[in-house]
Amino acid sequence: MASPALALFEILDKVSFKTTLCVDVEEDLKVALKLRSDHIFFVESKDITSTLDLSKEVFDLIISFADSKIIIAQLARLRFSKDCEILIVSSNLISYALNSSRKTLLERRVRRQLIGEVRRRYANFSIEAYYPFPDIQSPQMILSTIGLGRLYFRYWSWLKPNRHTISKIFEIVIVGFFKSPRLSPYIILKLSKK
Amino acid sequence: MRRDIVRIHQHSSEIVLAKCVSRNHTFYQKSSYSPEGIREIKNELAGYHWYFERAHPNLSVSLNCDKDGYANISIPTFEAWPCDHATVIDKAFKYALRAIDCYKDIWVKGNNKHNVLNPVHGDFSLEGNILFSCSDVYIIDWEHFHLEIAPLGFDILFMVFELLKMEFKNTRPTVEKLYLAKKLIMYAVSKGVISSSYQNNYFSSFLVEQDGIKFIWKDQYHKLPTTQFTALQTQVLTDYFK
Repeated sequence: MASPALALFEILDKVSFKTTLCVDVEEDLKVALKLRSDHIFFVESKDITSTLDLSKEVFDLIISFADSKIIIAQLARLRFSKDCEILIVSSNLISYALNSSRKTLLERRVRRQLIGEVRRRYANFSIEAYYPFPDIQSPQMILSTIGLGRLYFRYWSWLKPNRHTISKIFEIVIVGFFKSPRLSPYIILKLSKK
Repeated sequence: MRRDIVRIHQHSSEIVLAKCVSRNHTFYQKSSYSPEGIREIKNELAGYHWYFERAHPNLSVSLNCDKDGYANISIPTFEAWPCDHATVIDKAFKYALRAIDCYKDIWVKGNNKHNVLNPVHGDFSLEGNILFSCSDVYIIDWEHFHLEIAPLGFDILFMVFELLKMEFKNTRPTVEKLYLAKKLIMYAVSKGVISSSYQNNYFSSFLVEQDGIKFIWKDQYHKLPTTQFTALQTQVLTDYFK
């Protein structure tokens, strides 16, 4: 059975890619990316500079689950094709669902800082923000800021209250009622070459 | 282009649905990475081809990718909306009549073979898959489509009996509502879109037919409202539709 996490790749405009770079991508997503790419590089954020020489490659897709300042800067130095797409997945430092991210609190980013940094480094890309609900591992919807206002709808079950119940209530109020993605656990920045 | 992912593996399917909006137009994309999902996407493609050829020759659905392990199709949007009252038979009655007329226009077009097997949509439901505008009716979600698989009218009976199940839930059927359902079926019979093979007992012959083609729904079969009638409902409906 395919993982619902693969839905992330459906926010990409193109169906297939020539050269793809994946940073900190989990195993269950790799097969799907291999299917859609002619050449693919999988790297870990901790050794992105030391293990591979990527300077000769021209990428038309980059997917990074690492969002640190260093990685954002490293990726910006790569060579991009004229129709390159980039996805950067980031865990929000302050969220109504603190347990949904696998990153520790220290590894999470302040969203505003991240967006500012990406804007500075990738000036020749257009940037769109997407939000997965409830999380990136098992999303039921992935919505843009505009889509969130018009299309957000989640099936809720209250039969078995558990540790997620509080997050659900916050999500209903903040996202469902106020239509705000501000405290959602994840943001996906989609960058497309202008 | 903005791409909102609005459905991810819903109702036991393994399909992802994206709403794509660009400056000029809006369309939907369906994709899947699993064999089951890919099979349904290919059914959907075949269903839309069959449907557009008959009803909307100016529209098309395109296959963007068909690899071993991934399929993706684009589907146009329609300026139309589902029936507001899909669970109340007296309020949905007029919509159901329009759906029957639409069925006739599509299924009977160039087809005189009433007593042989006909194509089946497989989810001909007022609850979201039949869309209405002022002048037109559109049918979406062709994931369970199969060519030449059941006698003419199967989808009409599916729609009517689903409507009844939604109305009654698990309560005892009332004669007033059953009468409305019978009127719908008689309307379809008068339009020549119900095969005579159902006429012995519209309800029980429908159930037999549905069970005979259950492979088209795979794991979703037991979630269909029309497979969930209680014993009492089954008995009442069988007696009524004799």
